[in-house]
Amino acid sequence: MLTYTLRRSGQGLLVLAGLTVITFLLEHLLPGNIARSILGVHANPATIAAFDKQNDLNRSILVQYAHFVDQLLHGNLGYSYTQNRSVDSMLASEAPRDVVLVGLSLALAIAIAVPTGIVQAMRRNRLVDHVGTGIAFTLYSMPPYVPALLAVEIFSIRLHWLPSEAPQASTAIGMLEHPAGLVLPVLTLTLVTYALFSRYMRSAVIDTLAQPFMHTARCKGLPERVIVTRHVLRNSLIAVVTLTGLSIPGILTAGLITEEVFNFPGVGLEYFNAATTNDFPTMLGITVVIGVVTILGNFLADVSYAILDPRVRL
Amino acid sequence: MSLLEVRDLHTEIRTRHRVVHAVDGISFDVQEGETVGLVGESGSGKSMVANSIMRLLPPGGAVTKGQILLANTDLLTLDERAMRELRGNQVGLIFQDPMSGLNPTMTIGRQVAEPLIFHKGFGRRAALARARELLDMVSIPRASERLDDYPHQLSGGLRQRVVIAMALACSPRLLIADEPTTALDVTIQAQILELLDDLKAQFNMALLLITHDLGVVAERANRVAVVYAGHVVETAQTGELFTRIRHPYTQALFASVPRLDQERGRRLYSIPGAPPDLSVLYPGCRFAPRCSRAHQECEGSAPALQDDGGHAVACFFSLGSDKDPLSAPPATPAAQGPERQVPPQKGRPVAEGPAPRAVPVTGSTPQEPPPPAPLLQLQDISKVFTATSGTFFRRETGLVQAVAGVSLGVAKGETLGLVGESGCGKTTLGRIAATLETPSSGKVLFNDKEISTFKERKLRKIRRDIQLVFQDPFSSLDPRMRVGAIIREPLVWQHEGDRASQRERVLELLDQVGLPKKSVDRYPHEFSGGQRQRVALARALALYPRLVIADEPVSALDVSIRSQVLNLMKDLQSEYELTYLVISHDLSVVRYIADRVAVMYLGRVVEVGSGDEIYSRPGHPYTAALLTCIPQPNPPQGDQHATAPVRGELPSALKPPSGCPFRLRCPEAKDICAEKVPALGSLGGTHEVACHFPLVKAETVSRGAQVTTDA
Repeated sequence: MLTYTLRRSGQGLLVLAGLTVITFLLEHLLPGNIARSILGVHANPATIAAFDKQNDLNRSILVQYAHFVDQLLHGNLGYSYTQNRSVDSMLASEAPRDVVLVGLSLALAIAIAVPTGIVQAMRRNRLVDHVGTGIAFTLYSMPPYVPALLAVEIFSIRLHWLPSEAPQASTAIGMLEHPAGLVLPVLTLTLVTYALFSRYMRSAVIDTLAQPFMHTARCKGLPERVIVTRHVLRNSLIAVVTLTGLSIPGILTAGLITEEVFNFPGVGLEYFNAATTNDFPTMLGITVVIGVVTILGNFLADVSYAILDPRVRL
Repeated sequence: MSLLEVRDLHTEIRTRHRVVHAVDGISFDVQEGETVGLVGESGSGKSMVANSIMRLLPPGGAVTKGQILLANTDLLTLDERAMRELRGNQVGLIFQDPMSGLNPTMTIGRQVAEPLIFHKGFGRRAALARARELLDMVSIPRASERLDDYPHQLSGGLRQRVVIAMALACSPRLLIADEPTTALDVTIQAQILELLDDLKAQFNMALLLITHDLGVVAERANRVAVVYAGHVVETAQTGELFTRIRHPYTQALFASVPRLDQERGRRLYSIPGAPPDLSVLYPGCRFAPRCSRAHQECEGSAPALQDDGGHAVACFFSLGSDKDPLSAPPATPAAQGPERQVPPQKGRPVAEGPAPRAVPVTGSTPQEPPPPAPLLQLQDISKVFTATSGTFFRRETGLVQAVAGVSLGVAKGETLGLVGESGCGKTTLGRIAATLETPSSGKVLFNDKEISTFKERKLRKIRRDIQLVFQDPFSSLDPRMRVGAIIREPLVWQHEGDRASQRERVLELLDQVGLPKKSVDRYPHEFSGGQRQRVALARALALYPRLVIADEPVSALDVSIRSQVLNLMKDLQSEYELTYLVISHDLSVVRYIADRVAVMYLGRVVEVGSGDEIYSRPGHPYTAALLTCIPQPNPPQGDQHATAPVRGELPSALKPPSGCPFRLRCPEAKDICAEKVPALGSLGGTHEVACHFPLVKAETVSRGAQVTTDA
């Protein structure tokens, strides 16, 4: 387990290095100029040159990258000139609220997808299954903003049941104190994630049900309830867990769009704003953090995989 | 009193396009404490009988007619809840594959304990304690330590013991064993069958033994019912059935099984054609199209099972009856037999096939001719694999010596049989001989050229001469290629002739392996297992190879089809002047096809010699044990069952025992066996054995070893 963790950490660092190189390059290839975006359209060339010199922006890209990595290793993700604050402090204040949004939706999605996936698989090709498949495919094929806008249109504008904007509290606890405002963003993200997971779960259970040991379980005369909880569930989750790890980036992307639609104060919204204002340090910082989260998520998925499946030892 | 009575059972499987009449009017009964054998080939409906009794049929399956009485209660009238009460409680089921039949994510202790909790109201602790006792009863060593093991930590034999313990947990009155030993090695099979017999007496149960293996029922069953195409065609007491066979199908089935005591060179009988399609209703006897005795009457109406003093048979012209057209049946059924899969030949016995080639190596006569030059020579071959653990995250955990210093030669035109149990390294050795694997040390010589050092270009040339036939005809043919393209492929890649001549060659090959010309445009899935193996043979022969390596060529096939393919292989050998290396776990198959036999155990050749030498005078205790383990379809002699001659299981190649690899399971083992690895030593003639205390005396060297005559 220890050697495994070490090796995976090594791999993770490599991935992270690659990620920073690519993001760094891409952002330098973008049209637009950091100095110009900060100093405004009326800045004269001399001011811009002075700014570039002050911030090492006139040095070669390699030096700039080395500088970025050096800062990164010291836990410094950079400084946003646009917002006039460090990316670290921005993340410290925004990230907890994202944990609320993504965490809640993920938990809800799994809580709904696992039982519906089981029911659909056990009633395969019957009405329940067809309805479930229809719902999942409809949600799955929609870009995340469509269910978000539909939810706003129906529940806020027409029915006036729920606010269309997320609570603007400054802390995670503050967000939870206004649950009404959380309903629509969490619901949107849950539906999108659910669509994915229920499909995974359904096919995993179908595979498990076809295994010979299911026949064994029936021959023992076990009640159906016991067969599902003891023999189907764990074996099906083995397949689902890996897929969960792989789907983290997708969920985070969906989260980004959800935050924009509901004006949810989180990292996603920051990223969106940074992208529209050429705030490179913020974009770069957030990309690195999302990269770390993805790598960690996959690592956790693999560890859970090994816990669920006794044949796999790390 | 009858414990189980099955009356006129009809079970159908409905799929979207057709209805398969899997069980079509089967009746039989099982008395208290009795063992009844249900024998049939795959697709005969025998497993559906078991599933019908359990009322656990596959989707679309339903019992449409009949009764299943267990202690006078009709199971077909019970509701699902009552049925559940019964499963695992009054009726236990053991099935073929212990690898996939256990839940991989649950400890074996909990799996064995489960029925006790649900049927007998045991608490968790009490159930686990009882599970430990049950694992003890099925002779799992150190049962208390094994309770927390997961199935993948156990060998196949141990897993089947766990399955048995699970089925016995609630002391059922009836145990159904569906092919309980088919997936196991012969030495383990003997142990499991013996265990089932012991437990049957201990638990006072009745046993319904479902198998394709006549030898298994001959040794273990009180009564036997032979099933063909959803019908019972013959049933009697085991002794009666095996001494006075009356149904032509039973007779043909017997004749198709290669025997250890069979005269070499006598052609194996094979039943022409293939089992019928059970979705097509047929008014006559289902066996008539393949039967050598069939008359018009047989095609018009189906014969009913007629009881005649306890021996019931469903045939208008049963053997020995007044109407038998061949009133004096041949002394041994093996004497007759159509040689190819030809359209059914009715009412006439077919002359014996061509006499086999002269066997180059015979007995131990001193003035034998010098052995022909070896075509393939394996010189001191070793192969070491690095063992890894974990499915995804591999890491090295040790070295596995798959092959340890094997030297063997195969002479031109000879058939060498390589036998051994799974994990003995025989397949690896075959792959090395085929240049698919490079040996860790040692040389492979083909036609006196050292091919083990050849590089890609030269290898491609030499591979024309060495072709392979694999075990599984279902996965060794590309499902998306037509048969014509499959057979033509070697010709294309070796630039052999133009398109027209290649097509011509394909048609010629199809004819030689006994397939119709129109097969060219068909896909592999349209063929049966036996036909696919014919395609594989045709592909192997396309380039006129000199050596054919066949790895378990008939293991996946049914008995009646197996003999067709074996006979075909013999015919092709003389036609193409082939040299065969046949790898098999089945000693009877090797006995039939091979001139010389090498027995492998844990990476080493422990005995080598001519067929007669190995089978009539085995020198190695392991060879002798293997021979006694094979259940033979002979009438049982009294109540004497053969007891399993070898205890324990094949040791791990990761940690092989010191000295002789077989010593831990050997009844003859002495101190020296643990110290020194015995080398192959001559017993005279071509017979060599690697044992410190061989069972037969060497002819030239005298030794203080005991002499055992082995039947």
